[in-house]
Formats: sequence, C-alpha cells, structure tokens
Amino acid sequence: MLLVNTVFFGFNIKELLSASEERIFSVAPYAGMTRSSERVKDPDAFKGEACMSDVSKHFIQGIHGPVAGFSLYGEKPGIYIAEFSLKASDNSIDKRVLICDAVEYNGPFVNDPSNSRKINAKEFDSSNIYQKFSVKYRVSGQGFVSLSVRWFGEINVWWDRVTVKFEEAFTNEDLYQMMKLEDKPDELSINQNQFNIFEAQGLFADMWGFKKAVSMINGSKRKVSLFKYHSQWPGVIPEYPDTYEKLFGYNLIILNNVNVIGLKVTGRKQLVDFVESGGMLILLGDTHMLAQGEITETFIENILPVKLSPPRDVVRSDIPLYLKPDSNLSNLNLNWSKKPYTVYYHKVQNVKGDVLLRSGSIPLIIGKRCGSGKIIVILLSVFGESVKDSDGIPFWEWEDWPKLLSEVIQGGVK
Amino acid sequence: MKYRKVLVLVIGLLFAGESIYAKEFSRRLGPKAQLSSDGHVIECIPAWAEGLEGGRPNYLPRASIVEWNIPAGNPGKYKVTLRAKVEHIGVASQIWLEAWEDGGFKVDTGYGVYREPIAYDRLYGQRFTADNIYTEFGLIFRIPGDKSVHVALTYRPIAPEGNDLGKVTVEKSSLKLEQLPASVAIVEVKPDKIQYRRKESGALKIRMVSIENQQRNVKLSVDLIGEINKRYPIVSTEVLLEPQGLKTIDIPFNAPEEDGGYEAYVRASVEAKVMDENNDYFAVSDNPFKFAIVTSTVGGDEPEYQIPLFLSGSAESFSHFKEKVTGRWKEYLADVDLAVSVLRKNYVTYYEFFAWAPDDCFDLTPDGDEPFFSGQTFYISSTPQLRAIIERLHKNGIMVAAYANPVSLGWLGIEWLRRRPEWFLYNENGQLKASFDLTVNANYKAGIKTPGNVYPCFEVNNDGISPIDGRRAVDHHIDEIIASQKMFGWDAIRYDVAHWHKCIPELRRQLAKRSDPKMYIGNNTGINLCGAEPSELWNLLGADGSLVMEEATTFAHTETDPRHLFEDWIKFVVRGSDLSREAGGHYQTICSTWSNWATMAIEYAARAHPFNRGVNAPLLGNYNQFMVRYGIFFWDERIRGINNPEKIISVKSSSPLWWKQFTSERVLGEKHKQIIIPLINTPKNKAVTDPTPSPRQDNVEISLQLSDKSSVVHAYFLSPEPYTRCIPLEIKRTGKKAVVKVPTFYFWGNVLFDITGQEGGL
Repeated sequence: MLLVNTVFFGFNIKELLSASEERIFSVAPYAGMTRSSERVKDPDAFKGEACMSDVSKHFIQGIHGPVAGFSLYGEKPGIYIAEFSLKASDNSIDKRVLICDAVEYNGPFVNDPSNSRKINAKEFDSSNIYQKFSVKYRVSGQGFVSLSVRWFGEINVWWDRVTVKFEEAFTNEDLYQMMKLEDKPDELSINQNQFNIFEAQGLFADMWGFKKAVSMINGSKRKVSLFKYHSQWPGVIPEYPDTYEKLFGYNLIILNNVNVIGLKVTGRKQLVDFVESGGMLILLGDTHMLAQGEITETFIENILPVKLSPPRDVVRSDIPLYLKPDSNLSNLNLNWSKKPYTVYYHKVQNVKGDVLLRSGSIPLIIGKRCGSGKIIVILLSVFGESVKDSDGIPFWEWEDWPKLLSEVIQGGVK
Repeated sequence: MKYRKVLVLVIGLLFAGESIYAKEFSRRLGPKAQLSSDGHVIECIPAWAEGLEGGRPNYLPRASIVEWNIPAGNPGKYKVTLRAKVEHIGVASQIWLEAWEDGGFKVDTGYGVYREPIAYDRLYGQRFTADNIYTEFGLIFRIPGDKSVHVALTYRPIAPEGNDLGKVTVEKSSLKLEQLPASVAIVEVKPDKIQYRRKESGALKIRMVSIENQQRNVKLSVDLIGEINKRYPIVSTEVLLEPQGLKTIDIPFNAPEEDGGYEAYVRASVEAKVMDENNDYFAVSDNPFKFAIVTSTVGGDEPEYQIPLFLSGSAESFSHFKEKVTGRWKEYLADVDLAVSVLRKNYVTYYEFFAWAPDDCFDLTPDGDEPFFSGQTFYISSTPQLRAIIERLHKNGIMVAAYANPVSLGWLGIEWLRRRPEWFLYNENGQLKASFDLTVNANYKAGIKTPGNVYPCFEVNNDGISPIDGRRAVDHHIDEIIASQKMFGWDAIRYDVAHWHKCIPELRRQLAKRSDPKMYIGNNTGINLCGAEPSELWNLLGADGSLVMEEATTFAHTETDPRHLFEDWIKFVVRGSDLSREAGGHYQTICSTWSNWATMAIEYAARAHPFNRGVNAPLLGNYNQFMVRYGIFFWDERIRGINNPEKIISVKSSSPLWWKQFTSERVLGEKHKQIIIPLINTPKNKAVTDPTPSPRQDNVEISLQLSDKSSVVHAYFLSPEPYTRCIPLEIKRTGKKAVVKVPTFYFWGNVLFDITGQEGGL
C-alpha cells in the first residue's frame, strides 16, 4: 500500500506547481482504459514529456473516449478557466479533431455548454507547435472537477499540461440563484408532538451521551447515521434527509461532529428553512463542527447564535473549566458537586443568543430562536483526559450530563 | 539386450569390489507416453492425462514420461542420464528431470499434492540445443535408502493449446539410471540457519549414509567458503559408519565476521579417496536488508505453497480463527513449521509482517493473548500466534520486520486523537487530515470483519506536543517499537508512509541505543518520493544500511506506465538501486502483483532486492540460492555502477545482451578491485510483463581494457542457471586487454574480473 500522494510517472496524480490562484498540472494517459494514448518524450513539452495519441498506434474505430485526464477534489465554488496546452501534427484539415472538457461532475453545472470546447484542426496556428485552448467552467463545490481531452483519430495530437485559473468566487446566494433551487413547499410543516430525531454521528459521538439523553424523553424516536470522511472529499452522512419532505419528517437534527460540506448548498439551505419553520438544530463536536466543520460562509452561519472564530477554533484551557448553568438550566436538580469540567472548547468571537451553560465568562452552550425553531450550539469538547490535580470530573464522565442534554433538548423546543 | 545384461553381470563379477553398485531398477512409461512403432524411442505429447485435470493450476502434479523406481534399502549416490528432443524450443512448457521420495516433503495445495523433489533439473525450452535435435541431460542425486525413490522425466500437464514444445521424444537406448561407485554418500548438508549474524554460533547438520556391508571409518572435512574461494576450515574428523548405516552429525561452527554469502562445503573420504562431496549456502550479516531475499507470501498467489492461515489474513472471524488456529494449536504449529520450511527451502532470508498491528503507529503491543484485528487490514492474529511464527522464522535464520506507519492506520487512532489532539494534523482550513468510515468502526468494535480497503487514517503531527506530559507522538511510537521488539523479537521496522522524515535520525539514534539487537529501518520511498538525483533526502532515508523500498515499481505492468518496457524498467531500477547504495542503503523493488522470473533476475542483477510474489519463480536454477551465495558481488556497500562501461569493456554476442546498465565495480582497496558484468539475455518481447526468452547464449566473448598499472588476476563466470555455479575462466591477454569466453547461459550470467594494480593504478 502506498499512501504518499505524489507524482509518479504516467499516473493521473496531480502535480501542484503553484499553490496560488493559478495551478499547472501535467497529464498522463488514463490507466486501465482503452489505450488511446501514451506518455512520450517531447522536448517541447512541459518537463519534456507529453501525452500523445498516435493515429497508427492508438486509434480504435468507434472509440472517442478521453485520451487522458485527471480529477480535482475540494475545489472552491466559482468560475475557473482551464487552459489546455495542445499540439497537432496537421493543421490543414477542416475537421473537428479534439474536444477539451472541464466539468464538475455531481454538481449543478454538469450540463453547461461551455464545459466542452470542440477544436477544429484549422484552429491550430501551426502544426507541431503547442497552443493553448481555454475552457471556462463553473464549480459549485458539490462535486469533483474532471479535466480531460477527447480525440477522434484524425491526426496525431499531444497534450502536455493544463493550467487552471480561479477567476471569480461564488457566494452562497450566487449559487442559490444560479442553481435555481426549489423553495420550501408552502404546505410543509413540522410535527411537534413527539421528538423525532436524526443524529449524524462523527468521531467521539458516543462520548456525548445523546442515546441516554434521548431515552429520558418519553416517546422520542432517534435515527443514527455514521459519518464517512476523507479530507480530500466532502463528508458523507448516509441516509441524511436530503429533501424538504424527508427533513420535515423530523423535528430535531443533531449534527454531532460532522461537517456540513457533504450536505451541499441545497441541504444547508433546507436546514435553515427547517429551523425557521419550527425545527430544532443542535450542533456540536470537536474535529468536524463549527469552524472545524466548514460552516463559515454557509447559509447555516447566518443563523448561528455565535460568531465563529477562524478554523482551529477548539482551544485548550490551562485549567479545567468547571461548568456553571445559566437561566433555564440552573433550576435543574443536577449534582453539580461533582464539579464537571471541560478542558477544550470552541472559542467564539461573540455570542448572539442565550447562554445556557458557561464556565466563568466562557460560553459553552448557547441557544437562539430562529423563526419558529431553535438552534443550539454546544461549544464543549470531549478532547483531552482527566486533569490530574482537579477534584472534578470530565463532563462526559458526569452521570448527570445526559440529563442536562435531555433538558437542553426539551427546553429547546418549548 | 540379453547379451548386454550378461556382459554387465560378467564385468560385475570380475570387479567384485564394485558389484554392489550394479543394480537394475524397474522402469515404466507415463500415462501419455508410448513406445514408437520401431521400439527405439519413447514419445509423449504433454497434455492433460487422466486424473490430472482439474482447473487451476494446470501443472499439479507433474506427470511422468518415463519413470524408474528405486526401492527402499538402496542408499547411495545415483546418476540418471538420457537424451531427449522436443519439436520446438517452447517457452510455456516445462520438463523436469527429477527424483523424489515416497513420503518426502510435500504440501497439500488444495489443487493436489505438490511434492518437493530431492533433486531436479528443469529442462526449460532453452536447454534443448535446437528444435528436434537430441540433447543429453543428466542428474546426480543421493538417497538415504530409508524410503523408496522415484526418478523420472516429467512434464507439467498442459492444455493442448498451451503446448509449445510439441512432441517430446526420448531415445530409449540413452536411458540410464546407475548407482555411482561411492561407498559413502553425503545425503544432506544443512546449516541450521539461512542467515547468521556476524560471529554467531551455528551448527551444520550432515547426513551421511554407508553403502557398504561393513563398518567404515570416514574422514569428514568441513569448510566454509566465502567470496569466490576464501576458505574457513571448520573441522576434519573421523566418523564411524555402520554397515548401510545412516548417520546424522551436527558440526558446530561460528559464522565468519565478514558479511557475505558462504558455502558450507563437506567432503567425505575413505582411505584417502574422495567418496562424495556436498554443500549448501547461507549468508552472514547483522543487517536484515543487506542479504534480504524477500517474500511475505507463503501461499498468496503461489498455489504450490498455499498454507492456510499462516498469517491469518484469511480468517473470516474470531470464531473462525479459534477454530483454525487456537482451537487446534498443535496442528497449527505444524502448519507453521511447514510454511517456514518452504521459505527456508527457497532461501528466503527476510520476512515482513504486513499490517499486523492493532494500530500501525500507536499500538504495536497488543494486549493479552486473545485474537485481535489489525488496524489497517482486519487481519486476525494473536500475540501467541505471532510469537510462535517469529520464533520459528528466527530458528531458521529468517529475519523479521514489523510493518509500521508514522500515521495512525487503525481504529485505536480515534481515541489517541481524542486524548491528544495536538498529535494530529489539520490542513490550512482547520480540517483534520484523516479518512474514516464510522460504519466500519462500528463493525470493528462489534468484532465483525469488514473486507476491502476500509482502514482509517489519521495523519500525525510530529511537531505537536501533548500538554498532558510534554511528549510527542514519535516519543510514544519509539517506546512502542522498543516494547514490541521485546514482545516479539523484531529485527527491523519497515515504514510504508514516509511522513516524518525529520524524525528518522532521532528514530535511528534511539533504536541504536535502545533496541537489542539493533533494529534497522526501512521506508517506502525511492525515486517516487526522493527523485532521480542524489539529495539530502536520499541520504537521510538510505543511511545506516536502511531499506529503501520502491513501491511505484509495481505500476510497471500497466501498458501506459513509462517503465512498462524492459529497457525503461532497467534504467529505473538501476538508478534507484544506485541512489540507495550511494546513500548507504539497500533497494527493494516491489512488483508483487505481476513480477516474473525475468524481472526477478534483472532486479537482482541491478543490485536490488525484489519482493518475490511466488517463492518458486525462476524457470531455470534458483536465483534466491545464487544470491545467498554470491549476493556480496551485488549488494556489498562498496559496489558502484560504472558509467559508460563500453569505454573499457566490449561484449561480443550473436544476439543482443543487456550488460552496460548493470556493470559495476567493487573497490576492495587501493590495489584491488573487482568488475562485475551481469549479462542478461534480452527477452523476445519488450514489455516487462512478458518474459518470453530468446535462444540461449553461446560463445559470448568479453574483453576488458586495463590501465597500464593494473592486471586481471582471475576471471570467473557466476550463474544461477541451470544451477548455482562459479567457474574460473581462462584469460587471454592481448596487450592490456583481458579476454574471456563465457560458457553457455540462458537468461542471466555474470562475469567477474578480479584486478590488482599498483597504488593508484586501478
């Protein structure tokens, strides 16, 4: 097994030469596909090698598939220009000889006509000299970008590189408008009779005790989904209710240490509508939530009861942060003498809601009404170990923690 | 015919002293063989025979064309000779001249029983002189006489469309099985280990048998021979053999203190007359990588040696593991013994436990004796099992490496991340550098094996210091390595991911100080990571005899890979090997999914250590055995490739040979050096995946131009084909040129010039 993600000859591994807005990628034939090209030495080419399709060797009648290409993941939403550097053996024939494709698959712009550019041999100014051909394409951030070239076997062609330029960023509103997303159906409402909960669980989710907390609520139902994550791709929450109808079948969504990238712009907008229509949303977690969960600059950020710090917002306190209830929670019959504490917490820039739990001046649970629903953000963290010199216990070991959570949930929908 | 028998009898009576050797043995034809109409030849078209069909593989068991039987009670030294021809010099088919014992070493492969011969000669296509021309073959072997023995010309049954030999014809009058006139036969010579550490105590097991009907005093001489012919006398002693007696003797010795390959050479004499001589080979080095003959597949894709559950990758569940391993512990250990003996028979010196640990970075010391899942693979193993295997490997001198990673590949990483988040990496957006599927984690926790590449990965930040105790991840990791070595006895640790380069010097220092014996370090790096030019990174990773593994070589089998053609492949491997050596390390190529005997030979010739997918790969000879004995001429740290060797060397051959890429020199002092010229017979086709060989090489001539102040003292031909051999070559001198003629070889041979000179004259 090889985990080192780097360049090796002949494979479709990206080579990032510049980390700025313009990036250059070398190209190589698709491995395992119809052999319609090969990597060859070419003194004119980028790094002296190019991907070549030779009529006498590679052309198979009826096969016009990509001769080479590669994919990019995690691209920011916006407009891009891909410049394909190509060379042709003959520029005299009046025929389409190549198609350059730059497409975001799994995204809303997959059918944009501008994603593909047909190239006639006559468009080459000279034979056997590299020339750039541009393709402008849009990225929503929901899918992955594929850059490839199709060949029709008329003449020999070489492709040595593609330069990708980031031209303009999209805001959420831009995307929403461009994607012409459906609005919430007017007749849809949220049933508030019993708790029907969807909990997406990421790392350490068991530590938070939601299972026990929910079991304290009569008649509640809870569906759990386990998070799948890869740092290069959007996270996946299996069976996430990804339509208005499915989402409004629940009245509480708990995103327990899962990021919101995988929900896509559609899902995030639906979630905001869900809260404003009377649903409850609880956000918590250490590695994949709040600033760590890529919420910043999404629709969800707009309804948060806090202003987020930049990423790596989970910080460690030098001393244990003993929990102190505020307002609603202070009347609960909980055993505070155990001195539950947290060591790590999400540091926020300011608070825009009601603080339900704090430690000194540090807010730890904050709630906020939003439309007819509520959003609750839990800033505690299960990072760390017991503090040796403390006479308290980590909050996740505190027997009353699930009870407190249960109250947060039930108080939240009042 | 009758007259000939009478004549033999008369001669036998006249020479009564040798009459015990004049024996005849029953002979029969195999199921597809028949006598020609004139009765002069035996003909056979290798093909499926009744009882031999059965899907894959198509060569088990081998079928006889003609077969003798030597009943038990006939100990001695024998020779079988015959003349045979084939219609075409085929490349896909194999004919063997072999001898095997009833009840001898065999492995039930699941496709039939594979029987290990006591002696064999593979008559691979090229061994025949030409199409339809008779070629004479012979095989000498020794038998203790306690079991009956079969001697046969055999073939691997093949489907008709796979037969590229056509008809095999054996001249009936040429068939001869004779007992050689030796009153004593040395049936076996076996060092107790395949590799020793320097000056390590060892023992040589010698089995001898007397053919005579009276007691005999036998003089036994034992020498070790290193380099080409450097002799280390071990013992010269008298041994009393009972009539027809089989005797086993253990001769203790100390391994030499110089790294190298050695021949344990044993000679038996009676009344000053040499009766028999026999040998075996072993290597000496403290470094498990230097003489690494590598495999980690006992079983795997090589059906001849499928031994289930050796490493328990095939255990489906904990209950299955208990049923197959812990529930039948005694039988399981017998399986392990068998597997280890297969490795040993194939001269494997190095075995790596891939992805065995609960977590490749944070937990190399599994708790308790209960079975556990490995973090990366869902392999099931247990501490007692690992210990039992390693103990047996060590007993045979096979060094063991623990696979590890400087990233957390295992579900236990989740808890380390929770407790010590500072030890992990985040990208510029604050996102954790990791991958995981918590559904798989739920299976892991529930003890349910999940197939596929489902391992989690948590990248480790080695600059991160845990505020709990001020320790870094690498501090914990090193402690784990040391504790793990105490637990299992590792000789090396081999990393797959090379993320913490800057920690390597510290790791090395700590291991040198704390591990016992010193553990060596391997990495999966090479040109893929370090580039094709010398650099600080190369020096860092290769230093101190480290292993530099080049996993990228595994992609050469795809048609679009730039190393797909032999010539490109060779350049790449030689370059990687030379860069490794210049950095102080040893180079391992890993092409496990497609490697073949040709790439294996090329990798050895390129001074690398191929990861051998199958342990029985070569069609001719035994490359592994050859490298154990003569690997020092390829793997010595003093060896460097020669640029433009054609300036001083010319090679004349009737068909193309590759040699320039491989030629190297080994400087042994200011006045002494060796030039090693590996000769590879270019295969017919260009792609590395197609080893179809060209016709054999006859009459190759090599000339070496020397400087005025140097001269060639000796020249040798070293080759694994058709058996491990080293032949002194006659040197013709013309002016300052030394010219040698190379004996016939098939795919891979090597010429070594031993050169001395005046100071500064080399």
